[in-house]
Amino acid sequence: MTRLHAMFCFVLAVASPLAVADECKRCEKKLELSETEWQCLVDKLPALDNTKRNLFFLAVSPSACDGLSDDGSRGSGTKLPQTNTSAATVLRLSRAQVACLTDRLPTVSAVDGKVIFEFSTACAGEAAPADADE
Amino acid sequence: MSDAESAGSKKGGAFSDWCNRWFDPLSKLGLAGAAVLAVLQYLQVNDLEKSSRTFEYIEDFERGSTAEARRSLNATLRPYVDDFIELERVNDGIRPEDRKEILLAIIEDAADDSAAGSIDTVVDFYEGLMLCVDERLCDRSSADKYFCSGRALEFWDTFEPYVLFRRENNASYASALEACAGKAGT
Repeated sequence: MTRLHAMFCFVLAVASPLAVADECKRCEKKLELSETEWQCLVDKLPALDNTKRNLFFLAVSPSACDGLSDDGSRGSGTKLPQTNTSAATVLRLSRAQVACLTDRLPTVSAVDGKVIFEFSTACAGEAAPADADE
Repeated sequence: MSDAESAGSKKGGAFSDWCNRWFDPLSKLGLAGAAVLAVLQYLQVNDLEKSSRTFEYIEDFERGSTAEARRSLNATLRPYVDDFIELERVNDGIRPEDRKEILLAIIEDAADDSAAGSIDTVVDFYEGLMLCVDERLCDRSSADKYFCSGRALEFWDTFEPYVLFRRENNASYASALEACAGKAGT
């Protein structure tokens, strides 16, 4: 093994776990959305890209995009929203995942009315969340 | 003995009798009064000390390391306020499992475990406060009014999913906070 090769292996061994550790363990690993939900997500992506935070929490139910539930009331500051067992699922996406989704949008299409987006394959090397060890 | 001497002796004897009759009960009454005053003074000093200790907790909560931890937690959550408002508005809230994952994701995303450390600081604060109250070293009424009826409950409501997550490895984690928030046994 050459010295350069050994150094490369060392850097790889040290850097890989660090890179994985930076990822969001609790973010979505795979999106499985109806066309309507997907379109809702696509509509929201440009606004997400402009913010500086690392995580995004989005509802993509029809009402979340139509604003049907809008009663004009405001949320509760830094408190988490109230729990509601019948509320729609909330997507958890990291900044890297949002960037990857934005990049891959043109290549994604619905099959049988569903859009399936697997981050580990679609965003290999850029936005795949670390394997959760939970 | 002349009549005058006899009369003087009788007067002296009456005074002596009067003294003997009243001195004992009066001295006992005086001692009892002094004891009551001492107890009252002790209670007053004790109350002052209790209040003083409770105010030390209030001071720490508003300006000390606990205040810093609370500020840090608010700063950690603040970037997500728009998301929270939006979810509350369009999604009628969030499912409990989403709430847990959202909170844990935010806490785990914070640099150098700072959010987890700040939560520990506030949790430790409530451990100290409730111990102080239970040992009658702090004023329960003030502690209830200032911390337990609002602030502890608000903190519990926000971070309950994280507390439950921590209890998977430490069953008594944040039990004092839970008690102060009135959530123990619910």
